[in-house]
Amino acid sequence: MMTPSQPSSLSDCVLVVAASGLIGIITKSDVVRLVATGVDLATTTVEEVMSQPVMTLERSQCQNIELVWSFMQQHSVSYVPVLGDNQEIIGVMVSKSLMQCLGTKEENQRESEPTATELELERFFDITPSILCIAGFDGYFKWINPAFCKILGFTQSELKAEPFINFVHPKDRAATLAEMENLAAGNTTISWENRYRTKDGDYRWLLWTAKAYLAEERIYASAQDITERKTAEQALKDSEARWQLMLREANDGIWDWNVQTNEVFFSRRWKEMLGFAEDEIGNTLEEWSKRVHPDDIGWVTKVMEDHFAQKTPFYISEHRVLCKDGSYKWILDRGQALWDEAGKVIRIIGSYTDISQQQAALRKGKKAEIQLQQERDFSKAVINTVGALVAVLDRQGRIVSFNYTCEQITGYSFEEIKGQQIWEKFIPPAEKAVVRAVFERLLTGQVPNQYTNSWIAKDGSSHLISWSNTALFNAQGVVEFIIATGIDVTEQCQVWNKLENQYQHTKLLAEITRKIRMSIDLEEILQTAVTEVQHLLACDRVLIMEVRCNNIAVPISESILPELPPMLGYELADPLLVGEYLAKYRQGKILTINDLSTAPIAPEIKQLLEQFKIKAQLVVPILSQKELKGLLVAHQCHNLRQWQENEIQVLNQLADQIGVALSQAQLLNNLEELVSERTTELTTTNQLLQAEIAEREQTEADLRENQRKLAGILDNADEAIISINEQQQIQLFNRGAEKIFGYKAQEIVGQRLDILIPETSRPVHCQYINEFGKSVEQARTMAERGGNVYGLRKNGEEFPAEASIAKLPTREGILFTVMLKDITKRQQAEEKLQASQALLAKAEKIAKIGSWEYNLATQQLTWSEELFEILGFTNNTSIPSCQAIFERFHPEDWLLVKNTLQQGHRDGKPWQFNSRWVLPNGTVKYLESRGEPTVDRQGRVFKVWGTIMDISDRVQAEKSLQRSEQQLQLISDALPVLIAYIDNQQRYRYNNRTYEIWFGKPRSALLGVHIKELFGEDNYQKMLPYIRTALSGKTVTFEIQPTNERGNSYWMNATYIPDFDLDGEVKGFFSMIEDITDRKEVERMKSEFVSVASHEMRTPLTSIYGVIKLLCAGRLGELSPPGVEMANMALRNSDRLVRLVNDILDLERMESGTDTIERQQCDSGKLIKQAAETMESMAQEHQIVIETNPQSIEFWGERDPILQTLTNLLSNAIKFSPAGSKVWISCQKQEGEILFAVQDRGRGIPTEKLETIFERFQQVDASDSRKKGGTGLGLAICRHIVQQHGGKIWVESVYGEGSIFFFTIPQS
Amino acid sequence: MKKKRILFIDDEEDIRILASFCLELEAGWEMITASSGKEGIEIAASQQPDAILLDAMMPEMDGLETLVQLQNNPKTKHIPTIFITAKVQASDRRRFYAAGAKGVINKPFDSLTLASQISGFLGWSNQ
Repeated sequence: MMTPSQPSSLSDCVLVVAASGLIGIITKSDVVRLVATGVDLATTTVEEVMSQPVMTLERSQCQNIELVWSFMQQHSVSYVPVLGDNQEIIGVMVSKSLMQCLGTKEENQRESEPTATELELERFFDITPSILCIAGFDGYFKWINPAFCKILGFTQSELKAEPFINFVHPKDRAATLAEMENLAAGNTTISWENRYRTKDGDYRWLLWTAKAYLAEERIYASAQDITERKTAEQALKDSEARWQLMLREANDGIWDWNVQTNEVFFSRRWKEMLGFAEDEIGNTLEEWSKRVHPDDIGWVTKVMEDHFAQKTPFYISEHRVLCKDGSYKWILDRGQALWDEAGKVIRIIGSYTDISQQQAALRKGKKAEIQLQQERDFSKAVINTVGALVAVLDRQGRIVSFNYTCEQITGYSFEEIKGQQIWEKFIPPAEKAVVRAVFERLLTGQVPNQYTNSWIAKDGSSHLISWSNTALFNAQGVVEFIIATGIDVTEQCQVWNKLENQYQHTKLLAEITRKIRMSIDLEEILQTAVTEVQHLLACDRVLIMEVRCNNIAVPISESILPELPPMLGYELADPLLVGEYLAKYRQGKILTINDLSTAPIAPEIKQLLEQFKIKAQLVVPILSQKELKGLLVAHQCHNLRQWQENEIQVLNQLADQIGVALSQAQLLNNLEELVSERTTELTTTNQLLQAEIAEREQTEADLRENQRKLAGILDNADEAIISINEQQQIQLFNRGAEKIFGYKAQEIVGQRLDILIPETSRPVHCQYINEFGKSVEQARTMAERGGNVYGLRKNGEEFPAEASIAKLPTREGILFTVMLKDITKRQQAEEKLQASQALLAKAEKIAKIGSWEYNLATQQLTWSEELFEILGFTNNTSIPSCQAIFERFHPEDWLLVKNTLQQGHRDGKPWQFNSRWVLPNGTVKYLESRGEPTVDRQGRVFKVWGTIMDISDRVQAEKSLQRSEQQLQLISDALPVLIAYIDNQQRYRYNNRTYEIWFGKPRSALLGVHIKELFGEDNYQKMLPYIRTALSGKTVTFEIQPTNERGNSYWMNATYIPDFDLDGEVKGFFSMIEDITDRKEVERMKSEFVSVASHEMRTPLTSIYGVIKLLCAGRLGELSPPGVEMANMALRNSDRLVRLVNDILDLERMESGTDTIERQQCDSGKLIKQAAETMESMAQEHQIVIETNPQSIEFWGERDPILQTLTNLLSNAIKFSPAGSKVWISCQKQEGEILFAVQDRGRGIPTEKLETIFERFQQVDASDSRKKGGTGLGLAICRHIVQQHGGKIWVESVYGEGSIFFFTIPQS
Repeated sequence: MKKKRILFIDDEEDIRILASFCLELEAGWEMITASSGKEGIEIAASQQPDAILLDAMMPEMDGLETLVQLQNNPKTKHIPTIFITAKVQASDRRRFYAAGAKGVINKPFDSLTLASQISGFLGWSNQ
């Protein structure tokens, strides 16, 4: 409750009164401060608001005003409530009024001091958190309030000592001074922001409001600390900048759709993406929806709706969007919605990513495919459609052609990798050298066997590719191109390897596990283990050692190569098997010795091991429940051995299994004996006792005798026998009891039974015995709810026990006799058994093997846990009925299952079968079932052990392998090439479908047929040398011209690739035969054409050219001036035609390879001079000077073609040089070759043309041939000539500055 | 000096006319022509020209065989023979030289310099 102290407008304080009385005073300045700092009144307490403490005076204390005044001064308070006799507030003393009352004397005294208003103001200044100050026009602070000092950390005097501008941030000084001038200029209030330095060197941002009073030459200013706001603003700016940057960099367009209003914000980039300017697209949903391709809008909407319905975490779709220019762009559209609490969509924000290029690339790929198919060149189409990689490489290993499959597998387009060397692009560094070596061999015409290497795709993935290569020779017998055909076998290999490993692994593990389940015969298990391991790892000797308590390792099982000395039967104090090594084995560590001679072992140990011819060894500990049971040891005696990680792993797993077997066997033996023994004993004892006790009661006379007997029994029994009376006092305590409980009979007789029972069980026991006393039973087993009863030994230890109780009515009342056995050991053993069974279950789980056991006599069937898992009865705790089990087998397997089981049960012989198993959801599993019946002496089966292994993974892998093989076969059938596998007896083992077409016989009829039979004697004789080559292990490619059955001859190109078995012997070879009759015909026609065209075109040209020449020279009479001009035009053009025909025929001739070079001694100097002389007239015509450096170097080459090359290059240089410039022709000697160079200062060649310029008709500018009178073939001819000489030609050029053409010719 | 007499053997009439015309005009030689190898050999034997210009590709008897026969005939074996041919392959040229040709001129030839080319091959000084 708030009460104004005075009702008038004069009131400047508020008293806060609660039920308990006055709790606070709020002054006017408190309120001002409250408002200034923006404190939330709803959450503020009165104490927090008050700036002056609550000081009160009683009425009687207010008699002396001066005293009151000094009280106020002393406590620095301005208001003092005055209390009446009953502590009620009767008034408030106010310092201001007091001061007025104190008279004029003080007032006069205070004239030089601040007036009351000034004082009030000053207080104001003191408490306000705002910065207030007064600065003079002289640049110094005149007055500063404490808040200012506090914020900057300087004292008043420090601030006043320097011009205030010194405290302003250097960057803000100019602006601040400008503001000062503005202030000084007029009578206005001005606001600005600047930074002030604090004492610790930081800066604070201040927002100033100030006004100057010109008459006083002072500026009155107040400021607020806005540093926080500024920092926040900066952070916001930064983050906004980052966001913008991110948007820009991500290159995504952003849209933000307010679903409730259907208003959409589209970012600038979004609009740009579609080709629109910022203001061309409005903020409506329609702008988005009307642009989605009509074919896409349906499902895009569906995707969006699914997301709205929260079925999908994101909205994501790829669709086409209409651009401003009418084209469609592929867009990846992603978004995420915001929902309100009711699940209604409020808005969705998303982004557009332009994926046209990816899509275009995809479409382009398809288009290219279609175009290719349309081409007549069928083989090309096949190359691109088969699933095989086909790449064509030139002599430098550069990619000339690269089919679609290559593009798909590598992720590179042909355009990207065209002309690059294959090993630079695809081959991992480790394989480069090998691949290059293979390639070098390919170039020499030897075609290496099919080989496999890895390719690294664009995305970094590695592909294993199996290659077969074909070399293409030119007419000189030089390899010109290599055609590499490959199949990506990555998956196949992985599946193979995985399958192989898994299979071996599973098989062995399964075998051992099965043995462990099937047989308790430890020896058999161990023998199987060592035999299998020796076989699997191809070791020379495998041992299982038992580690005896004296740390001696005794071999208990061994598998060994026949010629080696056995270790079985020796007790070995092998130092590698004892001492510190043993300690390591106990920790599960493995000992690996790859080479005994270099291993860091003492020489005497080596000597010992050498006795057994050991060269390498691997020792794996067999642990069971952390106890070292034995060691699994593998030896290599004939050679050193690098033990592989996976081998060690297999051994380790096996050791686990053996450990299980060992502890299983031991436990079973021990436990069964123990249990049966003890049970019999207990029963007998109890029976005896009963009988004795009954007798005693009947015959008093025999009492003594009986008592002696009884005592004997009591004394000899291992069990505790304790008698108690109705009061549960112990009457009898035998030796067994003494042993078990640790009490002596004499100290415990007469005590209550409770002393032997753990405290928690006492009340139950007491009650129990009472109830038993009242029941009609004579004896019963004692048990607590959990199963066992617990006893309490003298030393306070509790132990589990089995107990029975009997009662005997006597004269003294009922006598209870408790017979009790300590079962701590048995329980421990049982726990161990349980642990071991858990281990077994785990082993089964790993191996995916379940086991079962059926007792025919009791008809009892038991399943292991894993079997439930495998068969999918996971929810069942009991075994389903035989019928239910049987029905789960696949109906097609019913007969097999039924027959096998019936037969097995009848004959008592082990069985094995594979079958399918159908789970309720329709999934089919593949199971391998084995059974092993046990027969009695009459040969009747009385028990069956069985295992069921889940082999679905294996079957799946086999199936997928089969599928990929089928695919391969499909491919090979689809190829228009004869593909066959021929064994080393030269008989067909596989033929593809093309054989059926060629030979008109079904494939089945070709199987096993000899090559001779199929091709006929004559053709076979032609093929025989190559067949022999293939069978000797070399790949061979050849072309022959056989005759078919109808007597027509045809050409075929064949490649034989030998196939080796594991020993490196040739098992047979792959044969690939292609009909190249058409190709041969085309080749022949082409060469004929060159020859005919050469004559048929030159003859008419000779006449035309000759006549025009005469005409121009005026030999046929004077022509009119236009006549001369026209005749010259005809001459120029016929001249060009002649050159074109020459060039075309030259090139055709060169490329057909019919022309070989005839090397003779040449002199580079003479050639250069000759070339320069030949071109001199042309140079003069173009006003070009040819500079020569005719260095004389001797070499072997054909003069005319090299001269032609030089003149071609010179002619180009002249043609493309500006008039008045120079061209240079020179040569120099390099290592083993001559380097010629022709340089000009012409317009140069753009970088992208540097390679293609040597192709036919590939001038820099398509119009060059017309303008410059060239044929577009000159450089192609030059390249041909140079390459024919074994040299290289290239150009270096700076566009706009000129070019240098280089070529090299080897000296010899 | 006696006017040189040249025999030009070519199955193409146009070429014969053109070659005869320009060699007479440029060098002032007396030109006689034959349209086949067989005819050429006869004329050569009877007229004893100073040189024979021979086309390589002719029906029935081609230039090379004509040359061989000319070389085997004692009446004509001394007459220098030059091929004027559209066959421009180096292997052909080598065959022609091997058979005894004194020179090989490619078609189409330059009608203005044909005479000087021939003179050059035959070692005749320019008239």
